[in-house]
Amino acid sequence: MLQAIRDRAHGIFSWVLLIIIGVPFALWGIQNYLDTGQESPLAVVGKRKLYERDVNRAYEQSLQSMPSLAQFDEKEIKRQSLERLIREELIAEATDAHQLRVSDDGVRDFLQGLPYFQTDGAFDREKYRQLLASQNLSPAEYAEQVRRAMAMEQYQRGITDSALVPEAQVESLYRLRNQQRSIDYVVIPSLKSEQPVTESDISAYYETHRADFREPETVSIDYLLLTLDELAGSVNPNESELRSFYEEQKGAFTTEERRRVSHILIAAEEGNADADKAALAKIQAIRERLANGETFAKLAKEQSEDTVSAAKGGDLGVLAKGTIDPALEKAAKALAKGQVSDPVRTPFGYHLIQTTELEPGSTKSFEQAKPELVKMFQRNAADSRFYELGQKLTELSFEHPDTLEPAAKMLGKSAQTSAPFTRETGEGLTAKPAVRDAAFSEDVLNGKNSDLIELSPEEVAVIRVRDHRPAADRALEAVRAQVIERIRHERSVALTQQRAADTVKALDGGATLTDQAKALRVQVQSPAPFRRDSDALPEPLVTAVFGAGRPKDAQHINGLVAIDDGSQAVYQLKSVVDGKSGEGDQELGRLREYLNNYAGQRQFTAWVDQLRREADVEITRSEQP
Amino acid sequence: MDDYLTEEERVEALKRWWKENARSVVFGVGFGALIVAGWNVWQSRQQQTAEQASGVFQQLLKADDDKQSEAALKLSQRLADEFPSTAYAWYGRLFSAKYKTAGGDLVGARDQLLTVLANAKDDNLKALARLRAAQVMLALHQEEEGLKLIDAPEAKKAEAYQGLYAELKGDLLLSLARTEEARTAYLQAKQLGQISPLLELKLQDLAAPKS
Repeated sequence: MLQAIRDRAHGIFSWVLLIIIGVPFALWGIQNYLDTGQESPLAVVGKRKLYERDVNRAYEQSLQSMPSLAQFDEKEIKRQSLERLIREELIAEATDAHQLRVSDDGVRDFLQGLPYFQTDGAFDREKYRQLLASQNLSPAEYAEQVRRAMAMEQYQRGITDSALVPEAQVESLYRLRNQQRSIDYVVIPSLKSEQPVTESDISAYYETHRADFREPETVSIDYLLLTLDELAGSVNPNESELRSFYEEQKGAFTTEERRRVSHILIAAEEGNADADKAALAKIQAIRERLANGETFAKLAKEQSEDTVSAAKGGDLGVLAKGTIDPALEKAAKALAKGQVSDPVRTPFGYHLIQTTELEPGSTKSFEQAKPELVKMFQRNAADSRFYELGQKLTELSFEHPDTLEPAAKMLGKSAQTSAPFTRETGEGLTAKPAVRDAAFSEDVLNGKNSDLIELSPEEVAVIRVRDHRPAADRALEAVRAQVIERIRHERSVALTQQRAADTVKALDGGATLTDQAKALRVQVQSPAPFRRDSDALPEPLVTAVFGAGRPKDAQHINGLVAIDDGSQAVYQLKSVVDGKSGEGDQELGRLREYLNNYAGQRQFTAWVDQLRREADVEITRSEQP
Repeated sequence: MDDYLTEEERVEALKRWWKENARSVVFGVGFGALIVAGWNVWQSRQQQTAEQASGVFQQLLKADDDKQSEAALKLSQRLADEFPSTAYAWYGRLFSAKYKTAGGDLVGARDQLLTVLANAKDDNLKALARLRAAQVMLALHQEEEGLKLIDAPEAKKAEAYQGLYAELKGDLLLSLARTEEARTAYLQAKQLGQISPLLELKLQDLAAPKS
């Protein structure tokens, strides 16, 4: 058959045929070659692939919404970001699978209702186009995105917002929250143990608690610190350099004029000579009255036809460039403080304008600006030097991992040495967690130079360990006093607790708290009934009392709890009164709302979890690079 | 063996074949075209219905936002009745159960949810309806029925819901004054990740057994 094709492969038809057949063969498999240079996805959810850049975008979003950056674990947040993307994708797929769809009308209504596409409360087509164009989106693409987002929202709200909470459940939460309990209690202060601490007590305690008395692991480091400030100090610009820098940076030394203005408007359409004349006459009359001593504010209120500003005595606020008619602006600029302009014609009519406040703009002269200028110049000049030296520092400390000497020589200074510090705390440079983390990293402990540590955008360091002391036991003699102190303390706690336990036992046996208190020489406290969020009593006591169960058949419940270092409370729970709903309707409403939202959220979480469990999700790289 | 035929013989054979099969070929192609067209019509009808239902649902969400219970209840009923072939019908029933519960018609709410449980094809939706139905049963003081519902063998399949089921089970048992079992259920819920201030409150109120 091939022979036959070759025999006849002369006419144009045959060529076309050959090309049609040939092209797919030639390109067959080319995909594989093109793919080799591409990144592989981090996860595959159904048909959709999630790449690292997707995760990075989500990661940056979550960083923005985090309250503080003090303690965050990049890996963990990235993992969460990936997980969030996977879940979003699952929701999107489920939305399609359920065939949730929003009509064109629905999308249009939604878009037209968005305030940022509106001008004066009405949809503004031009604004819409411009905003989309600035985001590189065509209206069709955008509408499709909105349609999808709306369908996903329907999917979610179908579950969250349909959560139901029977009234009985709201009431039972109300009863719990507003429950009050009443108790009597005594506080047994910490008792001193009379038992002498013997040598064998001490050594036994030391042996069993050796770990508590260990000297922590410490290191001290040699370091090279490079700061922008120190480089800046060595830059000495000459006069002419400074002068030309001043010219460049003049803007930074200039403060704009700040002018507040008021006006009076007498409206007159353009092209109507009669009205024009009348308006001019009217405004001149006003001008005259001003000249005769009447105040601008009062006349503005009475006469001005710009009703909005008239109500404020003509005030237009601080003048910003281009916000009022150019002719008016020009007139205003020429005025001294308190001065009133001649009538000014604008398309609206005739105005009188007055400058009410004026802070003239100013530009610092070269001499005035000089100290600041020198600093700016120095920092600017040092900036590239700082970057360059940072690079060299990195290279040299990497190429000679066993010494800081070459790097120090390059920087023209010698390495400094820190005091010993632990993993948890340090002083000065080693107060910074980044430095301590580096110092205790495996490579550095093994005698290598650290990487370049960026302490701030203007401060970098390289460190190496000078001296490393592993954690070590301390000899008994060195900690003897501490040991004795702790034995005494533990005995006293145990003694007090025993006394409290005895008291509870006596109460359970029918003794009265009053008698017990007398024997202990303490006062019985009888606080008013309190709620679980009460702060009138020690917190551990409140928690213990609310976790003590409910007294049955008028039987008191007796218990004890440690309230602070050493002392113990013994309480007698007398009664529990549940909150009565109906008194605080507002709170009921709030609880209802809370339970509704809460139920919806939790159920939706379970819903998505279930999707996640059943879905075909492949995480190709769990370890983030 | 084709190789032995001459050109004319081949044309002859083709003609003969066509004569014999023309009818079935035309019929087959026509039938195919009809199926394709029918499919398209059906698809666009489906889409239209879905979009209509979506519009009603959008109104329902708005009524829900504005707390207009009566309108919301009516709209949810309409979704369930008029668009039974769409997923929106299920949402309609879920919302209808919510508003019936709020309006005090607990039996009606329970029946809506049981309808979803019996007829929905989506297991996730069933699991959700099961939870909510048992929740309404608690309010109806039909604790035993509620327990039966969330202890059913099919309920175990919805793994992600086990924590929620366990907490509700605790509520049901507590309502039957089976305190010890209730505590066990609450603790199980906690173990399954339902860590919430609400659950803590319930657990705290059940006195820990004295050791």
